[in-house]
Amino acid sequence: MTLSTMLSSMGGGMLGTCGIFFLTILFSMPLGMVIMFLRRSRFRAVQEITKLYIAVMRGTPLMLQLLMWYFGPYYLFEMSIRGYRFPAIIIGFSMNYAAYFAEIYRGGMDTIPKGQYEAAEILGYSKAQTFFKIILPQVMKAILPSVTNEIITLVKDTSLAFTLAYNEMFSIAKQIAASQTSFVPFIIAGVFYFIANYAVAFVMERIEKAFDYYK
Amino acid sequence: MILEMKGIRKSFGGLEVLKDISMNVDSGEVVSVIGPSGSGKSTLLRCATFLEKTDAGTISYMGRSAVTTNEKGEAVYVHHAELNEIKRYFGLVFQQFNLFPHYSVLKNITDAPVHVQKRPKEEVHAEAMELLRKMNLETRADAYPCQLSGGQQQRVAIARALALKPAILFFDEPTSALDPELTGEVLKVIRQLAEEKMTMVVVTHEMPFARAVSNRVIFMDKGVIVEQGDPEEVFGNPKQERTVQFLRNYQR
Ligand SMILES: Nc1ncnc2c1ncn2[C@@H]1O[C@H](COP(=O)(O)OP(=O)(O)OP(=O)(O)O)[C@@H](O)[C@H]1O
Ligand SMILES: [Mg+2]
Repeated sequence: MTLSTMLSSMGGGMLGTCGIFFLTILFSMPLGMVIMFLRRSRFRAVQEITKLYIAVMRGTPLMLQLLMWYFGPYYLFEMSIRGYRFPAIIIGFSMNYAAYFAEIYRGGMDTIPKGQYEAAEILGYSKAQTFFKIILPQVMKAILPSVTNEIITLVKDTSLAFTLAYNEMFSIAKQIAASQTSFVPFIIAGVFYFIANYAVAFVMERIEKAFDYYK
Repeated sequence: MILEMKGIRKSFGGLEVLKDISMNVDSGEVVSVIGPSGSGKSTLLRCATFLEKTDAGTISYMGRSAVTTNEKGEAVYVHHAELNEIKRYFGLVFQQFNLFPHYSVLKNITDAPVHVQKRPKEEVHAEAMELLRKMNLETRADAYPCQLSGGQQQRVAIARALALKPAILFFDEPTSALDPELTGEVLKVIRQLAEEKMTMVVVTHEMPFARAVSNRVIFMDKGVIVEQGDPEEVFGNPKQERTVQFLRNYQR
């Protein structure tokens, strides 16, 4: 097998990897916001349930969670859904990353002094205006470094999709490596993840710079 | 009467911080509130501005009732919409300025008039520039709060409050977070507002300022108003022993 055929068969997997990556970001970041609000709810019960959820998501391996999401419906309800493999992966990743993002957001919220809320209240801003105009932009600035870390972890975590025998790039690399008894696919995979994370770091740095206009 | 507060009581846990406080403020009056640390001055302003809920008593602005007392003696707030209307009558300047760090000086001042009061942008913008001129900050409109000194930040905070055209402006120790050499510029601005007959209530530890600028001085201690009156009377000839002692500590 030549390098170019290797690259082209792995290219299809890269598409899958990117799909997992972007869809997880798309769903987990807003969902994390919802979880953060539930975590800070006035109702004790809601707080506790959310805390438990976050603890489970962070305290068990993502690989196990993926298996649960995929095989859970089958064992629980004897349902087998065609074409469920990819959605199961996205659900598993999104639910897991949302828990991490929720904790990052919560840490960011804690950095905002009470005076910001009080000033907004005195000036007559509504609750929604206060959050979206005053609080959220400052939270975003505060959490950018942690978000960057999380996204870099996600790039690498996408390889866990092989657990569900999904043909993302890493799974394909393993298959080729086994059939060709070659180490090259792993090197290609490594270079791919490295470049992807380089791009992530580059973009995040740009975003951080955009927030640099104030301290 | 711009503000009428009667029988205000406030406790935190078991600690009674305000014990039956009444305070009226007339249009054009400048009232200074002085008193030792922990006497309840900030809590009084926070109750007046609804940042803190009073336990009992009544509060009204411009004759519109915001807080009444029910038969059980508990404070009852009017419904949300009316309360929001009433909130437009007052502004508050904080000890820690509390400017929005991600907004430029100009946006700090114009954002609420435009997006809360829904007034035309151009008009608000022109007024904000006028306010900045008054604060001697017309060249800093595009700066961010972190680029300004404490004294400049506090003047922006005053401009921000004035931009909403409140009928009364509260100050909670506006110069206490500033280096001594910067207090003068902020006090000068407040003095200027007093000359323009802006109605103000100023909690302060700056005794010469309180004496020179206010029409009335309130001395608070342990949650009660111990003495109030003309500044020359309170400072020059205090009637209460506690006032005498408090002022003596400041003479040195
Ligand atoms: N949110 C709160 N929870 C509990 N206790 C409070 C709270 N706010 C104020 N207190 C207490 O109420 C008392 C009065 O506080 P307040 O801040 O009104 O005093 P002050 O006269 O403004 O003092 P200072 O000159 O130090 O600013 C203090 O004993 C304070 O510890
Ligand atoms: Mg105080």
